[in-house]
Amino acid sequence: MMTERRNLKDLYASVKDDFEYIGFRHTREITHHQKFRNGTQEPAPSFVDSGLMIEILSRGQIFYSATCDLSAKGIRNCLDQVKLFANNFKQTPLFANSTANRPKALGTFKSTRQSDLKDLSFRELHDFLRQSSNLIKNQKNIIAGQSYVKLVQSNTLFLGNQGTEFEQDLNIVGIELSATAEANGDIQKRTSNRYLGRCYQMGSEFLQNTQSEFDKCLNISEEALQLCWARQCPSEKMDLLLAPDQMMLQIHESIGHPLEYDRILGDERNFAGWSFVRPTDFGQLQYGSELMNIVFDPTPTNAIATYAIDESGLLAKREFLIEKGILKRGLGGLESQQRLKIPGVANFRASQWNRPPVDRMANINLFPGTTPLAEMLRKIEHGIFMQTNKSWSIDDYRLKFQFGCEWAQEIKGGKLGQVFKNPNYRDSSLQFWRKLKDLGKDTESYGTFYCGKAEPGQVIRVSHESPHCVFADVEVFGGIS
Amino acid sequence: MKVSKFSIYKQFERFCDQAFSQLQNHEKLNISLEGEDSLYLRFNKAQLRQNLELLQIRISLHMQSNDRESYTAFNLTSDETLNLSRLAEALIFLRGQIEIQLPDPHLVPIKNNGHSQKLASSLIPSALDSYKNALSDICEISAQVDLVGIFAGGLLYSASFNSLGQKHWFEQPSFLFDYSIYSGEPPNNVVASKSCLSGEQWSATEFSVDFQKTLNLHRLQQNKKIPIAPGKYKAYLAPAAVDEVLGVFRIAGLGYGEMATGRSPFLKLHRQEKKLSNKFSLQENFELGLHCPFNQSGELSDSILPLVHQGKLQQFLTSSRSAAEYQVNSNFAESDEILRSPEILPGNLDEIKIFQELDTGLYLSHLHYVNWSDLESARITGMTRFAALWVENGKVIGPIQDMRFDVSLYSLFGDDLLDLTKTRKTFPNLYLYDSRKLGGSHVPGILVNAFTFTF
Repeated sequence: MMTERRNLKDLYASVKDDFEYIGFRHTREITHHQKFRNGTQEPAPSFVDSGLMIEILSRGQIFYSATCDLSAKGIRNCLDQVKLFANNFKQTPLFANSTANRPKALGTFKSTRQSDLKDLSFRELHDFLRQSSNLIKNQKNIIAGQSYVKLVQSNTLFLGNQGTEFEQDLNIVGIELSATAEANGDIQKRTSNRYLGRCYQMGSEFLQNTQSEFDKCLNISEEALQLCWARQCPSEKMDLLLAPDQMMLQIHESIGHPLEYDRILGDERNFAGWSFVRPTDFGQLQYGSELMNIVFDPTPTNAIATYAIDESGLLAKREFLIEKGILKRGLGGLESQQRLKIPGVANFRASQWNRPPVDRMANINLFPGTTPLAEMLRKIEHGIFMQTNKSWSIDDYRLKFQFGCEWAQEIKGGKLGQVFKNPNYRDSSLQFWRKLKDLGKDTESYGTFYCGKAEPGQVIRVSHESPHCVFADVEVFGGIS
Repeated sequence: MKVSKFSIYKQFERFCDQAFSQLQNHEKLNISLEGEDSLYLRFNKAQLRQNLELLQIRISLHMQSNDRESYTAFNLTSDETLNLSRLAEALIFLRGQIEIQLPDPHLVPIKNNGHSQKLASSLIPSALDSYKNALSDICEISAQVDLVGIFAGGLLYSASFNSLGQKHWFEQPSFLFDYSIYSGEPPNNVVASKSCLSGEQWSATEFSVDFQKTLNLHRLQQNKKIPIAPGKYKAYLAPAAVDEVLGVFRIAGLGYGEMATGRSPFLKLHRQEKKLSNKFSLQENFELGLHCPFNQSGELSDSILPLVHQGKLQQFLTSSRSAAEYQVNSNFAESDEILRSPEILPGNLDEIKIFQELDTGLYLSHLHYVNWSDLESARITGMTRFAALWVENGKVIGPIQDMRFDVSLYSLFGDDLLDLTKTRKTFPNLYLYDSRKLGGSHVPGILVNAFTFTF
């Protein structure tokens, strides 16, 4: 990395005074995928991805050019490309961008870790993964026992001629265990909280807590078999108790995305869609019940999308998005705040060096209530508990959704009862959140590496902390027997 | 885009020679390349929202030694010293991984899968020049409407060389312009229509013609939206909607590995517990020119690979690794076993008369956010979007309020499939996450007897 950084710093220093604004963003990200299935290692791609994005401001428009060629000549070519495009641009900018949207940022940020991922022992990791997958595949009805760890070491350097020099260094780990069982003429899969749903900023210390992972292996294996023998989820309206690992996607799809300012501005309409939220809704729309308090929070120690500055240089801080059910603020960085003329948050993010930043979620969390889970259950006379997302779909305004989960249990007379398979539910976002009637007192945090949007498309890391939640009178249904 | 068509090839060839020269006796190495040199233009309100000039060249190294294998990847630069220092780090990593592994029982030995070279030398200069005009053409032609979309054009590269002498190289200039037109006030009065152009050479004239067709479709939606009750309806899915149904195969579909581990939606088809219509045939077709014929290991599929023929399953997409694990024949699918260049064979419907053929029912130009709702029964869910029209006695009455559907592919391509159109449309690979990619699809529209809406 030293040669790459020296090359780009040298060029940056020689040209920075030639522009109204110029910014360099260099990211070097090392990703390892390590997977075992039934005790055997699967092909394990690794990638050292290093590249540079250059942005320049010219006549009210910011132009972008990016390259993986970090030789001196390659970086010079990249700069020449963006200058040429800017010089030939004769159209009117969509909005008048300015240096006000690129505040100065100085400093460093390093994500929390006890032991850096660069020092991780792959031998120890392989032993853990091999043992885990063998534990999952502990009987003949388990046709696949898979263990998967994704490791990311990411380092980004921001340079900008408004005075910015900032470095962010992240260690991120995602873990997934999954069991696929075949019995009773059926095949069912059960995971430890969804596809890499357990993803956090941390180092290799996760390998010190393997016993809890091994316990999970046995649980999911047992539950996959139970699902094969379970009845189909019934079709009716009832109270719905959702676990935090399903709330993760509920928050993501029906709160996070509709609040993105660039969606509200229509930038996403050709692909990801629009939003039912209008600019005039901020400060007055009853989004959900009074129990609902949602924050944008870039600060939690281990959350996967914790950072110090966004890609514009804006310092990231916690803000309420929804308070007591009323929509207060959305998810838009400085450019979108200018375009909409309303305040936002520091969420102007790019997935990697090869994409320009756009408005993204980061950590979007639902505050807990005060009810212990046992009491939440006792209050439900007739309902259903669902856990762990396995399928999702929502309309382009972020209203009508349908989710499927891996696991469900009947709730009858305040107690958990028989297991149901293929549970699904559907509703419309505002209607659904206004039916939130109970919140647990304990939270859990889950996320994804793969929140996708924008054109050209980019996937980014997000997380959502939530308690267990009860929603009244939701339409649930199952698969086909 | 100033990269010479020869410089990346020559750099890659030199790099491979140097890498192979550093192998130890028992080591084999396969090096593949995927790259792009692209111009992206993102539009909102028929104005430029963001541009991006992007060069990214990723090379992936796959080493084998003593029945073990390891992988790594990094970016290629134009600086040989920098490339060699990255190679040195990569070799340390690859050897380190191999050292800690147990023998791999499903390892497929690297072998020489031959030579091929597709250079697009004569096309490149004029194609690249035409892409430079796209910004001004799009802004001018669509100036009076609210147009949103993405233009992507440039060169795509794919290669696979190995230490046994294999050399496959593929490069192609291509563009896509995926766009939509909007009018009306949100949320209840919005009208939207969508289209997609693709090819090798951008043409303002072709865009202008396509834009007019999209405007015509837009004009059919000016009446008030009609509410549709949940239930089953006769429906025509235009080619773009069919392409979106195929897109869900990226999540789960016709991969052998998925089938063997119980995760394929076509397990019942495989076990002959369910069937598809004898009007439905799906195959990979590399003669369409949408994708290079070799996979990242350099293996060459047959140019036509029937997957479903007249409703009967012919084969799953089977990588050589799956073939080794399950003792079946490989058809040299890519390691992820997803569709690369699929086509659905045509039927007998005349698309020009499609409203008459539909008679009374729904015309669906596109679908949105299609995902599996129940893999076991091959059920998908999603939403209508863009031009979704209610048609009565062959006449368009107006647009519908968007509805969610939930339907099994054993219905859509099975019992309820009435016919397919004679004409088909080619779609580029619109999966632009992280990079622009080769691939696409060639599909007709389909007329179905019962398309289920839920709410």
